[in-house]
Amino acid sequence: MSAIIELQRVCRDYKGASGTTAVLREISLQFMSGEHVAIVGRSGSGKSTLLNMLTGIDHPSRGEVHIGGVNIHRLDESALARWRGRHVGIVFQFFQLMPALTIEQNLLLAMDLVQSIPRPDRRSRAGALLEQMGIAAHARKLPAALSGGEQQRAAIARALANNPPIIVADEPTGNLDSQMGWEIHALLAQLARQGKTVIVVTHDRQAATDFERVITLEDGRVAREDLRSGR
Amino acid sequence: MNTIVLKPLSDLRLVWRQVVLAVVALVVGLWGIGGIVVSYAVLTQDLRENFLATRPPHAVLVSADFADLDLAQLRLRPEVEAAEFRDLSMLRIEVFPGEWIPLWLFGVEDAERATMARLTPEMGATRLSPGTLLVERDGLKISNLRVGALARVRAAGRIVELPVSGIVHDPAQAPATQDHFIYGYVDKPTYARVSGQAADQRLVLRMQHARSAAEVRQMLAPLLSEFAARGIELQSLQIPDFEQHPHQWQLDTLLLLQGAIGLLAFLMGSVLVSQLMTSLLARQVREIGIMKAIGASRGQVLRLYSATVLAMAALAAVVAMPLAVASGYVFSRFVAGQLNFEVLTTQLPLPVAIGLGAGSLLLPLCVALPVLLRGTNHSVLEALSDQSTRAAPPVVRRGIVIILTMALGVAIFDTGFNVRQSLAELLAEMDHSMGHDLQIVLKSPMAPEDLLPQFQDLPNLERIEVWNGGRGELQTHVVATREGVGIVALPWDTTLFRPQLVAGRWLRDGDQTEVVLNGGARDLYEHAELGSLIDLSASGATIQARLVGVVNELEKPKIYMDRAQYDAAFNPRHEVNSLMLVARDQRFDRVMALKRAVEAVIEQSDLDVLYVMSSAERAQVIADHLDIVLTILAALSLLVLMVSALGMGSAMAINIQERTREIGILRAIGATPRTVFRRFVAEGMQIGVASIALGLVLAWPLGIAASAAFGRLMLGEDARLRFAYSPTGLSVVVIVSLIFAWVASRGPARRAMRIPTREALDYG
Repeated sequence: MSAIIELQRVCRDYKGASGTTAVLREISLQFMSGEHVAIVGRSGSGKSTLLNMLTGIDHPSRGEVHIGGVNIHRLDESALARWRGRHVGIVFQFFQLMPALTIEQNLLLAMDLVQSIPRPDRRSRAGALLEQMGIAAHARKLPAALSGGEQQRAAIARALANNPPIIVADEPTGNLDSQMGWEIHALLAQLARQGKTVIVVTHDRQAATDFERVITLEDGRVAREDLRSGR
Repeated sequence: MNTIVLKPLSDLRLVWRQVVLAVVALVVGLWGIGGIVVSYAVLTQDLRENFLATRPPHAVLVSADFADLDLAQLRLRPEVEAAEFRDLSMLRIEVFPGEWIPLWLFGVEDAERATMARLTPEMGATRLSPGTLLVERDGLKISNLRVGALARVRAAGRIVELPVSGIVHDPAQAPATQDHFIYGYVDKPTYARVSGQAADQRLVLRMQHARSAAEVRQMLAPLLSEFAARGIELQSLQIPDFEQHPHQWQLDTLLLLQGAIGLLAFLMGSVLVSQLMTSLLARQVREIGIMKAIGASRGQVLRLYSATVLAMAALAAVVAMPLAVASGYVFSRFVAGQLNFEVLTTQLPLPVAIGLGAGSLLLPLCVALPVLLRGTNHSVLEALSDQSTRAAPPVVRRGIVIILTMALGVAIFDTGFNVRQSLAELLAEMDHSMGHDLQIVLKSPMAPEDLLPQFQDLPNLERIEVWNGGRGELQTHVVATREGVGIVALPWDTTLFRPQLVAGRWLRDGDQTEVVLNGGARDLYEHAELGSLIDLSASGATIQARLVGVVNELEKPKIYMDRAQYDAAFNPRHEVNSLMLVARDQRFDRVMALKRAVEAVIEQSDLDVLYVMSSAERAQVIADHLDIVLTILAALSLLVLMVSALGMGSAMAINIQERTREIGILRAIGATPRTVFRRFVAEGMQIGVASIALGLVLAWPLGIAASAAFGRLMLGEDARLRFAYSPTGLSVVVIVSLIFAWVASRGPARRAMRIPTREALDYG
C-alpha cells in the first residue's frame, strides 16, 4: 500500500489570554490507501486538531501535510474547499445536516457544490448511497424527523456523495447509544474494506479495538501506535 | 431544483415571519420609489411633450408699429422657423353671476392652421367663427362657461357678450384653476372689436434650430436692429424660459420630494433586508462552516446567500411593480389634471421598466452585501466552533439600529408637518402683510380724481389708498422676462403693505430713487448687490435706482418703489392704476359684500378694470399653487413612517428570536407566558418612545433644512421659508408613532409568549 496522507513534523500552537498553547507537537505520520485508523486519546490530547489538519480545516503552525502528493496548506481557501470536496468526506459528531433540506437534498447539495458527479447521475447516486446506508425510506424527510443513528448514516452518505478516497470522522458515535455506535463503526469499517482510507477520532477505546491501526495521542504527541493484523 | 437554489429558499421558510415583514417593507419602499420613477418618467416626458406639441413661441415682441410688418417676408428669414401675430389682452369675464375674474383674450389668426402656440379642439367648434369665443378647458373648473353659453366679457369699460363656440386645450398656459384666470381665443376682427385695441401688435416667433434662450436672443439681434432701423419701437420683448412649461417648478418640486422620500423608503426597506440577513447568517454560521467543509468555496456560499436576498427582492418586485406602475399612472394623471396636460405615455418606456426591475433586485443586494461578505468570511474552524455566535450583533447594537430606523421615520413624518406649518405661517404672514382688503387694478392708469369719487361712498369702506405700476404696464428692459417685471409704486410709508424683509431695509423718503425687490425679482437681476444701482426702464424712460432691500414674497418678480419717485421718473401725469380698499368690518363675508358693491359700481361705469381681488382670494390662489405639493408631502411622509414601523417590527422579531434561550431561562425560573409578553411589549414601547424622542430631535434640523430648500425652490434663491414647528404635527406624530410601535412590538412578543420552555432552552 502507498501513503495517501503524510504529515511531516506538524505543530499547532494556539495563542490565548494565558499565552501560547502547543496542541500538536512535531507530529509525523503516514496513512495508507484503504487503511482503517483510529485516533484515540484523552480530551485535549489534540485528536480533533489532528483531524482538522488532515481536512485542511485548520492550518499547522509549522510542518507540512501532503495528501495525494498535494501540500494542502499551500492552497488558498477556495482551492482548498474544492480540493476537500473531491478528496475528503467528513463525518461530524453532531451530524451537521442542513435542517431545512431533506436527507436526499443534503446529499444533492454536497454534489451540487462540488460538481464532480455529472448532474444527471446525482439523484440516482444519492438514492444508491441512502440505500447502502439503509435509510432510503427516509430520503424525503427532514433531518429532525430521523433518529440520531439515522442522521449519522445520512451524514456518512453525504460524506461519500462525491466519492472521496478519504473519510474522516470526528467522534461519529459520541452522540449515539452503544448499539447505534456499533452499527456506525461497522459501516465505516465496511467503507475501509471497499478501499477508502477511513480515519476516525474516538474516545471509545473499546470501539478502537476494531481498527487495524490505533494511534494514541497524549499532550499533542503520538504516544503509541498499535497495529492489528488479520484485516 | 438545484439544491444551491433550493437551500436559501428553504432557509427563508424557517424565518418566514421576518421574511414577510422584510418583503412587505421592501414592497412598500419599492412601490413608493417605483411609483415615483414611473410618474417621473411619465410626467417629465409628457409635460414637456404636451408643451412642445403646441410649438411654443421662443420670443414674444410687442409693438404698436407692427402694422407695416410683412409677416410673409419675415417668415422667409433663415433664422425664423415660424412667425405670427397672437394678440393678447387682459380683460375680465363673468364666471358666475356677479363674479368676475381676469380673462386673457388671445386674438388668433387661424386656430386650425396655426404654426405655433397651437390649440387642440376638445368640444364644440374646431375653428374660430367671427364673433365667437373658444375657452381653454381648465377654465371650466372655475366657471359656468360651457359650449353654447353666452360669455359676458368686460373690456374698455363696456360689456360684450360672446357665444362660447368651443372648448380647447392649451397646455402651454399655466393652469387656469391655479391662477384664477380664464383663457379665451377669438379671431382677429373679434379681438379688435372686443378689446378695443388694434390687432397685430403682439408678434410671436420661433427661431430655427434654437437650443437655448441665449441662442434665441443671439438670433433675434439682427432682426431687432432691423426693426430699430425701420422705426419699429418695441414695447416689450419677452424670451420665455426655453421650451419650459410655466409651472415646471411645481413639477420639479413634486418630483424632487417624491424622489427623496421614495428613495429613503426604499433604502429603509433594503436595510430591513440587511438586518434579516444579519440574523439569518448569525444562525447559519455553523451551516456555512459545514458547507465549506463539504466542498463549498466562499464564492459559492456568497452566491447562495445573495440568491436569498435576490429571492426576497424578486418577490417584493413581483408584488410591487404592478402596484408601482398603476399608482405611478394614477399619480401622473392627478398631477396632469392639476397642471392641465394630458398623459401621453401609455406604455412604460422599456429602459424605465428595465431600470426599475434591475434596481429593485440590485439595491437590496448592495445594501445586504457587507453583511453577506462578513457572514461568509468565517473559516470552517471558526464556523464549527463556538466562536460562530460572534456573528450575531449584540442586543444593544440591534436596539440602536431599531431606534435609528424608527427615529428616521418619525423625523421625516414630523418634518412633513413642519414644512406644511412653515408654509401655512408664510401664507398667514403674507395675508398679514397686506393691510388692504380689496384691490382694484385698472387696465390703464387714470387720474385719481376721476377714479376715487366712484368708490368713496361704498358701504363698509374705511379708506382707499392709490398705488401705481402693475404687470403689463411697466416693463424693465434690463432683463427680458416672460411676463414682465411688475413695478409697484406705492407710498413709501404705506401701512397697507408690511412685507417680511429678508435683507436690507424698506423704502424711505429721500432724493435718491430707491427700490426693493422680492426674491423672484432679485433672482432675475442675477442677485444684484444690496446698495448697487440698477437700470430701470419704463414708459420709455430709464433711470437708475439703488437696491436697498429684499422682501420675502410668494409672488412673481416685483419691484417696489416710492410712488412719488415713480411719478417723477415715469408718470408725470400722476395717474394711478390700483386702488387699495380697506374695509371697516374685515370679516370675510363683509369684505365679499364690499367686493360685490365694487363690481356693481364697475358694471355701471366705463372703467377698464383688469381685476378686483380680495386679500383672502389672493392667499387662496397661492394656497392652490401649494396644495398639490403639500398633499403629496403628507402622503409620502406617512409612507416613510410606515416603512420604519415595519422595520421596527422586523427588527423586534429578529431580536426576540435571538433571545429565545433567554425566554426559555425566564420561563424556567418561573416567568409566565403573560410576563414574557409584557416584558417584550414594554421593551418595544421603550424603544418606540426613545425613537420618537430622537425622531423629534432630528426633525428640528431636518425641518430647518427642508424649509430652506422649499423656500429656495418656491420663493427664489434669496427668499426664506422660516421654519415653524407644528403642534398638530407633534400630536399626530407622537400618537401615530406610538400606535405603530405598539403594533410592531406586540406581534413578536405574542410569538415569544408561545415558545415552549424546552424548545426555548434548546435554541441555538
